[in-house]
Amino acid sequence: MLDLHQRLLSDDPVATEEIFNIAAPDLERHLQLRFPSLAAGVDPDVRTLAVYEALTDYFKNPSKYKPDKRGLMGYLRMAAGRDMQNLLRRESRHVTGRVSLADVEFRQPDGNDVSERVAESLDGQRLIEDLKRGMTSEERSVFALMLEGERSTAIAAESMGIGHLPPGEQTREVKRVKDRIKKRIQRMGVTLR
Amino acid sequence: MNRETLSKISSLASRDAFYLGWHLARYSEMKGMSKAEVSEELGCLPETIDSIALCRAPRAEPPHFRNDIERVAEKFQIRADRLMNIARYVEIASDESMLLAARDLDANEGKESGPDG
Repeated sequence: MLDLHQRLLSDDPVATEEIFNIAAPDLERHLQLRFPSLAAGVDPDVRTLAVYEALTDYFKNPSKYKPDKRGLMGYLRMAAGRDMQNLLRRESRHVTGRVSLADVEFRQPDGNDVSERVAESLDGQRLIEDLKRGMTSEERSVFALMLEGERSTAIAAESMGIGHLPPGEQTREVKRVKDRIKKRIQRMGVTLR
Repeated sequence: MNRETLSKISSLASRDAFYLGWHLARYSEMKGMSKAEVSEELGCLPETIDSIALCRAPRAEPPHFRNDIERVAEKFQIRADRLMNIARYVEIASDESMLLAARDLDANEGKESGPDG
């Protein structure tokens, strides 16, 4: 590998192809072990994309790798793992970009906002569709508002058809529905750390 | 690397001008040619195109351009002159201001290869 690295530094145009041939299978295996199962909705080719991005970044900036510090494969494995994490995060945000679960309803007793964790854990449209499938009509309407980023308890109450109730009762009812949605999310295997 | 992974990676490389795959893909698009037709022009098997695509694109400077093309041609046993034409064609045509010149090139090629050419 060090020989190939030297050829890359000396602008040999075929070095990239040879490194792909040697490193890509190893990096794919590494990512398979490190990320054995992908959440529903995640592009199954994400590992290949992570491998491609890690190698391309190395090809474009080969001098960033310092041979005296570590082996090239170790360096590339670390880069591929980092790229994989970034891709999963990006994909999750892309799909759930509109999900603003930062609403009051998802605050834990310790006051920590779990919304970001939920948003990062929701992997794809498929998971959202699966969630919706098991919901009651009032849960669906509240969940739809949450997906749109609507934070108002009053609007959630209106969507549930309880806008005529006193504010305190509305808050309790909305909270009850949102707690049920939260439980559904957790039952889907999304871990709220 | 298995064929499936090679094909996926080659497809990704075809979107980045850093790779020769970008030139091959643009050429194929501009000329309306299939991968098999491009491989025939280069004198290789269609599968080999995916590997060629992973080579770094030739550097633009004249001495390096030719050297890089020849290095790739030597490695994959393909026609260096054809690969050079493909890379040049794409370089010229990709520059919007030179797009018309590329069309003229096409027209001239047609005349040259015609019965009177």
